[in-house]
Amino acid sequence: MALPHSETEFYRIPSFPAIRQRTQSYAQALHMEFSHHRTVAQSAREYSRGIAGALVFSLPLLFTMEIWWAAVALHPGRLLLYVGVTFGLLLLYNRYAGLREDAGWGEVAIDSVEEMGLGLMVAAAVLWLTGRIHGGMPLAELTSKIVMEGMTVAIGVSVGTAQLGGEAEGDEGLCGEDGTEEVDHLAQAALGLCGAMLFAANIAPTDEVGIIAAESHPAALLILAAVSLICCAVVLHFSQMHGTDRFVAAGSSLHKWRGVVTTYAVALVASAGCLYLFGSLDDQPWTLGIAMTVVVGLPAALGASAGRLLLQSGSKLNSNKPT
Amino acid sequence: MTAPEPTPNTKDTPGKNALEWSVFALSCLLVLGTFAVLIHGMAVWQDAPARLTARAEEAYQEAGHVWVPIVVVNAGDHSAVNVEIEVVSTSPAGESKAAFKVDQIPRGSEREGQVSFEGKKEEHQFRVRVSGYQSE
Repeated sequence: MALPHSETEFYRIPSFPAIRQRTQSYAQALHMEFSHHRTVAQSAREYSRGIAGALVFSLPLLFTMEIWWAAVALHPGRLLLYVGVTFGLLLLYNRYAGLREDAGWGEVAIDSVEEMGLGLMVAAAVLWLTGRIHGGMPLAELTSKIVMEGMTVAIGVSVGTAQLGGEAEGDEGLCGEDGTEEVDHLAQAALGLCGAMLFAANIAPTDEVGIIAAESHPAALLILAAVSLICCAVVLHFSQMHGTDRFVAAGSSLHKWRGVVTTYAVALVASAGCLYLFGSLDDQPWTLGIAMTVVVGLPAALGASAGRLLLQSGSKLNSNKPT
Repeated sequence: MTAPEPTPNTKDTPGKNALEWSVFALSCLLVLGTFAVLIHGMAVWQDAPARLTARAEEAYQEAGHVWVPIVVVNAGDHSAVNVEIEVVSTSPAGESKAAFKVDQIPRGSEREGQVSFEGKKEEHQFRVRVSGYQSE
């Protein structure tokens, strides 16, 4: 029996140009403007860079047993919070150091969702390849493991997409069209948080953190905190790492120390956040919680200082107001 | 009479291509699916401690031993770690015990292990119990 005209219209599969036209009209209806147009081949190259970055930055985490265990032990609400925090970090990174800083918030949000999706896919693929997940698993266990790993992988996708590229393919990178757009203190703090989370996430879930924290004398922890601060100071103001001239303040000593202390504070926030999200602080006395935060604070401090510069290494930004 | 507005050249107009929209659509599905599973998990969460049950599957004979597959199920809301399973076999030769340990059994999941006894399958009767575990 032939279908009525309206039904045949309904079942007709639209062609790619039609899909593109329709999505563009939706985007226009949402007042969303895109900063670029690229070919499918260019997009594929960009995704492949993102996946490479994901593997480079988060492979240690994918091979860490404590993460698989923490994933299934955590309350689903905690995992949901982790997804929210990661999405916030992706927004900040894509806004301030991503490939298309000239993009609006709508486009940045779309990119962040894409990176989150790619992160979940890469995490699922690696976990499946290493036999950590399989089809017979309950959905809750499967989801928990993939989400727990996939969020850090998503940050790796974002960093890889933005920083592992060669020639910019029509994108402005961190620069505006005139190449003079500024990054302010908030931007540098946000990027410091991204770097600190990326570094701390690889250490925070391990059992070794609890052992070091529990067995360390308070004086040793104080020295560890001082060493973390000194590391920040050396990276930001002495070692002349690539990007320090553009992203680090070169004012008075007071300005320099403000930057160092801010960087370490961001590192401690990232450290405590990672420990909480991975469940390492659960049922621990607050003194041990602080000790663990200081222990993870060292890699987080390196992430917030050196990592922050690395995360912007591919950018062309001339910053006039760095931290 | 006004001239018709020129049709924008979609190839040059900034916008996403088919691959980018496809990846975005797939990502949306994955992220929304993740939200759905996690929110469902929150809704059914009762904060019950790990609740373990163990059962023996059909035993089989191999290399002169009786092998007994054991399935341990965690029906609680918390994971169980360091789970110890004890299997007691009763045969004409008397009672004998075997045990194994499972590192972790997540909520709603099951794990399998096997124990072996000497003799013939028909001569044995098995009792399985969870002898101890830690709830996370």
